[in-house]
Amino acid sequence: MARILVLGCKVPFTHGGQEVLVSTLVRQLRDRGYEADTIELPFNPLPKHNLVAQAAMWRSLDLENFCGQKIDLVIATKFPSYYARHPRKSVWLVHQLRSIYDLYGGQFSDIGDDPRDEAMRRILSDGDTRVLSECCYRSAISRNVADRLRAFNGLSADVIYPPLPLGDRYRNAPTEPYILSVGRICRIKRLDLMINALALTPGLTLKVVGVADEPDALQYFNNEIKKHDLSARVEFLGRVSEEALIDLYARALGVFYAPFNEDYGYVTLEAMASGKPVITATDSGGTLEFVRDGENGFVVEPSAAALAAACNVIAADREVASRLGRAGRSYIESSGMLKAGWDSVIAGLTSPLTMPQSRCVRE
Amino acid sequence: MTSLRIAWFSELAAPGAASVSAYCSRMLLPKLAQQHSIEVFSESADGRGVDGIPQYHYLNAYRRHRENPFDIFFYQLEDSKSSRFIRAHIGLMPGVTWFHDFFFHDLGPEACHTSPWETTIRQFHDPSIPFADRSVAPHQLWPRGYREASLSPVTLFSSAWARNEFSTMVSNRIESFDGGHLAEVLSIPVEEFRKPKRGASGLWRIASASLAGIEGRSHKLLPALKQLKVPWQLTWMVNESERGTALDVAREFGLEDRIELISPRTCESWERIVQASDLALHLHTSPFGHLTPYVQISLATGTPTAVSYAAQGEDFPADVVFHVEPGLHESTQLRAICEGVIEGHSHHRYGQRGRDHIRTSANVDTVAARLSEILVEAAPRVREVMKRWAIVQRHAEVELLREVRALVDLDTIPGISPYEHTIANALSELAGALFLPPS
Repeated sequence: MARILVLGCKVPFTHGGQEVLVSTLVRQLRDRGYEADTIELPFNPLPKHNLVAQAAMWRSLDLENFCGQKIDLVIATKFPSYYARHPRKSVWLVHQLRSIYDLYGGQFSDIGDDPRDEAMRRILSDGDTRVLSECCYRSAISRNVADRLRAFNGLSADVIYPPLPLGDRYRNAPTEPYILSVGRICRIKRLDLMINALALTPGLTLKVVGVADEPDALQYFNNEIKKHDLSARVEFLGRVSEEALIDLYARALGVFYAPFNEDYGYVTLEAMASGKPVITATDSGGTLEFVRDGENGFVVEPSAAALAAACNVIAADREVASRLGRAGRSYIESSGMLKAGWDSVIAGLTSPLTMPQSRCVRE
Repeated sequence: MTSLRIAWFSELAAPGAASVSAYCSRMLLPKLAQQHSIEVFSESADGRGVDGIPQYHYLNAYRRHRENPFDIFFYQLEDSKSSRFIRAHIGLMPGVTWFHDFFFHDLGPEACHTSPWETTIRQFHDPSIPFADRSVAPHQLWPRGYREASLSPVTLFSSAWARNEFSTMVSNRIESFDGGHLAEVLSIPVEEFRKPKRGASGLWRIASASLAGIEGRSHKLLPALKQLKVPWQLTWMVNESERGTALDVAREFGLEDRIELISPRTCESWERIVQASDLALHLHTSPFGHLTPYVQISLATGTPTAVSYAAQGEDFPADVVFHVEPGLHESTQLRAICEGVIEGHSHHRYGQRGRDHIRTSANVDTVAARLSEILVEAAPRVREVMKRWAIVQRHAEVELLREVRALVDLDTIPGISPYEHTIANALSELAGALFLPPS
């Protein structure tokens, strides 16, 4: 069987969708008989100009042989892992360096009009185009990510949605009056919108799963909580076990997930698999590939008032919450997002193994 | 006939969305493209462009410029979120900027807040000045387009009032690229509309494009309308977000049955509304935007038009529009204007004068020809600035890679120099010939 390396980048002490994706992919490859392993280098977004060096480090790696054993395929995931060289390189693009692309100029990017920032943007944008062109097979985890790649780098990619990490273990249960938020606690996930919305949704509480991975993020959210006197209604649970997470989804009234221009968002799919309505925003990117307003959740303006209105609808009428949740679950079941979806993922990502070498080397 | 290669930066809003830049682009691009080679850059690359003119995401402009250099980067700015990406890009490449507004409600996108642009301009003149780090405090001290004008060797203004603001308040403070600014007024182009004959409904129709807030003067207008002796109907075009405010004001005066609210504010809606109206009102006492191109559209339809005599409203000659002086007698004056138009006194002649004014000053062909002349005249000057700007960028690349190199040196464990050299080689590959590995 072929030897495959899955390439990931790790920000120490954080855990998000990318880590889940890499570990699940390796497990699924092994289940199918491949010899699979992970290569991860630490990723540090600061200082920002060092990002060029981090891309260069990946570029400098020789991944063709280890201890005399040939590596047949590498599967890159997110920036800058796809800078690695290999004659058979596949990419399942989680995201690029968003601060030089879709987040450029906005509050979630630290890249400005300093000429050195601009030099870095150009080096990395040109670099992305070049090293992603080398891939024998290009795919992205969502339509949103694929569209960015086309808009900014002129490259096409297949869309392969990652199946749910916990497969068919998600379940529904009698609801309790809380809204669930799952994910890293950082500004771009916009937990503050939901906290402020909570002030307008009497009778509901908010349970937050995840840990802060930005300096001062938690302090900011805590300030918002104190400002609205919500300490008794917001619970930070930190990182929880798989079983606990499944249970939290199962008992939630609804799930809040409204990041800014999300790449994909496992949370959306996990909520739907648990039969829960998803409350998201009109600018939430990848989530909008799944959530349909009034069908399986709510798509509202990114404001506390709009989110509160949506929460109040399901709080007032549990039947509405059930109907939306059932529609979400039904979508998940019919879409192959549960276990069955992995076959097509693996088939796409390993397709370079059967390609003639001439098709693979594009440099 | 000189032909230029132009990078045209503009929001290209879908029909139905309000954007002066998009409106001007739709009017001018087909004309200009007959003489010049134009590529449009906007915040999306979804093909919502003007027929036959290629459109790209604005962050790809440098790549298009490198492959086939542009003679001019042309920017349109307005007081709208749709301009934010242009405000960011002006700091990346200087060019010709057409200010539809010179006052902005915000400091622009985050990238502009602490932009080191003043140092960059000084660096342009003296390469020995080190690059600045982004500061903590915002550099854009006022709501005026100070930064954007400074970064533009040539500035155009849709309004003479805004140009005067620039000249008196800002231009003398600017450390420009070449010691002086060309600042011209260029009207917003408007098509001439045929005003359809109205049926005899017996209802006197007023159209207002005034904002719902206090700067839109509804608290002065509605008392005036209340006193009219003829049956009337007001069609009031407001922003979607202002509907509630507008409705509250209408209720306050007990006139909700006489007022039809239309939103959002778009050029297409306004064309339709004003063509069916007897009087157009543009009451606005703020230096921020939102008057144009609605006033011009009103004039182009030949509808008698009243404009607040404040800020950009001062641009319109008194024999073309009814000037409304903001203040104590505003209601009385508005009532007199309405009654004059109703009674058909000399006021109807204003309609014809409005059309004549637009025909001479804002005709699409005339504006397109003038803009083309300006760009051709400005091209040598802008090309020179761009040439020297490229030197600044090259310095920045070398400086960046020197910083990166220092970080690599710090990160590399002594004794594994082969790895260090491999990283250095990879850097060279990514940055082309700019990065030189250590000797």
